[in-house]
Amino acid sequence: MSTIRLESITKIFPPNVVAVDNVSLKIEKGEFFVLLGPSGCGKTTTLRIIAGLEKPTRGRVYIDEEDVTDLPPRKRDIAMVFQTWALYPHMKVYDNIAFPLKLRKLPQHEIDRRVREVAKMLRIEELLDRYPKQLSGGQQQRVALARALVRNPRAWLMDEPLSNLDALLRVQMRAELKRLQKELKITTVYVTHDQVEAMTMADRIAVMNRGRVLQVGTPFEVYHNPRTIFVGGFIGSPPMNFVRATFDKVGENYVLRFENVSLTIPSELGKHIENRVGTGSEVVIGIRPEHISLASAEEENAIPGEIYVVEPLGTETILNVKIGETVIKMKVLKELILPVGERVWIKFDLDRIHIFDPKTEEAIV
Amino acid sequence: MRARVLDKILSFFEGPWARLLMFPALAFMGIFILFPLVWSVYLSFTNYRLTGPEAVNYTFVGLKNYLKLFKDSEFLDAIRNSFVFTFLSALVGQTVLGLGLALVARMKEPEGVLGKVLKILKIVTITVVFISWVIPEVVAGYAWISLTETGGFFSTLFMGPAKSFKFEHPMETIIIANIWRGTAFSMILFIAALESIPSYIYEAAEIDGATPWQRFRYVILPLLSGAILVDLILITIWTFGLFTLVYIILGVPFRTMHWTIYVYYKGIDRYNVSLASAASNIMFLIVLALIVSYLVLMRKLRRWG
Repeated sequence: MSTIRLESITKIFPPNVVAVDNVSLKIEKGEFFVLLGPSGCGKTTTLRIIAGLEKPTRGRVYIDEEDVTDLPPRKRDIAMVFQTWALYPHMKVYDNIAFPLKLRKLPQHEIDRRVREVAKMLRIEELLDRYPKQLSGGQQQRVALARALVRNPRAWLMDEPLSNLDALLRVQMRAELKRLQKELKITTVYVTHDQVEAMTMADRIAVMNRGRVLQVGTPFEVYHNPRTIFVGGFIGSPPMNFVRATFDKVGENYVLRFENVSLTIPSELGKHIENRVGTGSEVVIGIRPEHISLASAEEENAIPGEIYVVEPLGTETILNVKIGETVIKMKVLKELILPVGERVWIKFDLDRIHIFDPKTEEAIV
Repeated sequence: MRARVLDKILSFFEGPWARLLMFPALAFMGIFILFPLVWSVYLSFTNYRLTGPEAVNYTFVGLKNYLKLFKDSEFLDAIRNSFVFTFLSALVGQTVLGLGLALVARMKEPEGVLGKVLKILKIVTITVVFISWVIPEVVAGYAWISLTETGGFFSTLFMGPAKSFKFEHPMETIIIANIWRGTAFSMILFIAALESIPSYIYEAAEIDGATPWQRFRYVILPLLSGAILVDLILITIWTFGLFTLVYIILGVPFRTMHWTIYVYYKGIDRYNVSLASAASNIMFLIVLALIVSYLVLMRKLRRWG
């Protein structure tokens, strides 16, 4: 169990591609920490810097508060699981798992004991005598995990380890991996572009985009209090709806106007926005599909629209509702097939809306 | 329309008739490779010569040529010399040096000025090695003569102004010349082989705690075994059969006779084609045995392949 700390890490690939831009993070003992972001956001480079496979252009890396920035990977005592699993094709499964121990010149009986122990834990005992080529994707994945586990490293680094598995296996391994990590309490840094993986597995998530860390927090925090439009849009499926609106004050009431709609919002929220950006300004409303419901015409703040597309998902249905030129996705928790073009009324849960500044893209509330 | 006609013709050759398409190549190989081989085996059991009465009326003499060869100390020396030459110049020199250069070529330079200097050095070295391979063999041979004759750079450097390096050390001369000339092939082959090993395998080994030597010994070398086998087979054949470079540099020497020179000397210089054929066939069997043993060895090493 170790802590990992990144201090103002910047990585510039020649000539001037900024892959990681001034990233500082502290990963706690035994934590399952996820770096989440779209491809090219710098999450893998950040992981490789922790591993020592890349040298940061600026900044320091600490493991257990020891400065390891200039140490090669082999002196950092970390284990890594690659996206491609990177098994040694010329070694049998047994030798693949034993390799890190052999390099450390452990006695033979100790190596054997440990290899069999992890093999049992990961249920690959019967595969020890095979070559990687003879294994399925899921089995290779387990071998890669076993190799990373076998030497009790200070930390586990994982670079999209599940993305090469088929969907069903991925869901299964997700839970297993989480359980294993909790059992062994190994500090883990896990890179993924899949927000479902991040939400389900992480203790904390760092959302990255364009080399920067936009927000760090528990899945709950990141989901419910996104600090930027990007975070709100990246996490959640289907993603958060964003609507450009004008914020105004009519008499004592605060309103948000978009298309032909005028929403009266709770005065506390309104005051808050007024203090931050003033009345008459442009804002972006963010609202999650599950916080929109069907309503009837006479309800307050009900918005008229028409059904654009219906996406049934079995226990729930995603309705795409067109309001003027804007299409809003909403989730209803039942099977509900409405004909396209049907006129409906919907209602935002105004306690759950997020307001962003369109210029800085940061949350106002 | 034309494409459709072509399709029809081609589809005729799918299935059992496909083999017919191999005929031109087979005929070519039969005439130029298989026939000379059989013919030389046949000649080696006769007393055929290029000139004299035996050129017309040659007769079957059984194993006489072979027995004669095994009593000829010159021939036995030639075989031994060819082995030494092949072992030192090809297997040790070209393979090891070629692998070393390939590893250097793949190496990542450190950042900064030092890295840039190293990179330029690397490119120059690889270019020079490559040039030595593409210049004509005869030119290369004469270049080595000028270096190793009396007064040549090598001779003066190692032997003083009055002696000839190539006369005093003929074997060393052709070994060095052949390493110089042939290393590029092994280097290129190994560079290609190294490219085919994905970088994450090296990285995994690095993370697993392997030192650079351990990475080479336990990961790179085993993964290169296929390429090494191909390299060994090819350069063994080429070096055993090397004629031009050796002949240009040494001519037909009194000592350090190479096997190909012996065959040339007996067959073309002395017109004894049947004896020369017998000598060729013996070498053919030896090289074949070597290659089979490489394959067997590699089969044992590469069970994962």
